[in-house]
Amino acid sequence: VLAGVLSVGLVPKVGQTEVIQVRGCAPGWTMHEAGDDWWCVADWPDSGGGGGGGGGGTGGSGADELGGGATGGGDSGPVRQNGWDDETWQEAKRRWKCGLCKKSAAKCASQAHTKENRCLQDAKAQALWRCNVLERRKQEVPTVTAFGCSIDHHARGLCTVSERPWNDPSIWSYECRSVSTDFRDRTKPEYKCIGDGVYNCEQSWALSHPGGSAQTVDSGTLSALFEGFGGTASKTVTANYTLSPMQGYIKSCTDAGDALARACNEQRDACYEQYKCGQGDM
Amino acid sequence: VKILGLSIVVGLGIVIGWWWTRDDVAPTPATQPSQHSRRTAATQPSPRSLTSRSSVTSTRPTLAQQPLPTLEPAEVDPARRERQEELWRALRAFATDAELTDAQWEQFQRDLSELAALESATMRDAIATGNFDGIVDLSNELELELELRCAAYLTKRQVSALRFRFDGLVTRVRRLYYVPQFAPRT
Repeated sequence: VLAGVLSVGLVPKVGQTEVIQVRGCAPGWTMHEAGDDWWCVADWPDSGGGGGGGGGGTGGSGADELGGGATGGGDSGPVRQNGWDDETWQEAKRRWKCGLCKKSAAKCASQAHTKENRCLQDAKAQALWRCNVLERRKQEVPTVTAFGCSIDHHARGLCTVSERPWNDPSIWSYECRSVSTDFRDRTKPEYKCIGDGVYNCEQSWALSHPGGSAQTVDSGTLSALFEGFGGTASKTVTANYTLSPMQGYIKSCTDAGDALARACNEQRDACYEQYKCGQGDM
Repeated sequence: VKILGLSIVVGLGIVIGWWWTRDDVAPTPATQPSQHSRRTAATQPSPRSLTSRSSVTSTRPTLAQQPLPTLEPAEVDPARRERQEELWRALRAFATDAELTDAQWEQFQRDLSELAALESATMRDAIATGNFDGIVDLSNELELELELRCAAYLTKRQVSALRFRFDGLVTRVRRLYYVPQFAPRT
């Protein structure tokens, strides 16, 4: 930006120096002045400029085609400065839109991450339920690990499908004991089952087991929004995921998050293409 | 007999006195956490605390301590391997087009790997506790941290090229190279 400033030094008379400065900012930037100080602020949204430059008269054209974007959030677009010809003004708008492409992509990527986290959270909740000894007993269903066996079967060495180190019966032990603090009230005993067996049951669902079952135990779709602007429609991108003992939920959710983020980037690239954005616009 | 009785009384007094004040004295070595465990806790990155820029940069190890990480595809799973290769090609294209020197490229890989490992540690913690609050914000901060680090050894034009080509790069590397791992308890 500073390179765009023209400083012209003139020497009208010998021994007397006069400096005349012609100040200006590059297209897409607004000049601000305070006393002798001055600076350029970018008009596009990433830098927070938001077209905040005051004083400059706007040409009146183009404001309507800039507004109305879902990504707006107060971004009103660049402000046409005095002295800008149409070409300069179009260039400023194009650069601003490139900034919006970038901003939409970043928001889309953040959403992809949020959805990935939710996938992990839900899968973990399911794993906790499958390994909850007491609750499963109440409902008269056995616990189930990612190997399709109950914790008790593992502990007794009866589960033959698990690979090392999961096939060691000693890692599946656990104990259930009373955790009641009020020993006088024996009508409401409170129990808790803890130990490596319960922990490992939960972890078995998180991790991949190459020899495990590929049968889908849950599936879903993650989605994120690439927000449109300036008359361009928003687009929802999606990625499907399936949870299986073979894959483990960490990889399944992570892969789905990655697929979603890549779909966001495809939209960004299309946006860049539309507005002929290059690295100089960033 | 009198002396014996007096000795017993004094002895009992000492024992009772010690018992009464035992909470005030320093814990015995057996009750203290081991030096090893304290050192581990102090040196391992604490993802939850990475909410300020200074804390992110303060966890950066010196180059001498770091092995050179490479993001060259090494995954055995074909589907993930393919995505690693895709990312690797994109990173190499960036390095070539932006004319990164070997030293810049190596430092860039180091920074990217280190931040991705930090994010992975945060994710691991979140998966273990089930609490994902603030994870996305932290990831966004790590993206910014990468850009700031790169600004120290890349030119403005190279940083612009990086911004132009990638969004969520740290997270992408974490997803493809630093999947959180949990070992079974034995």
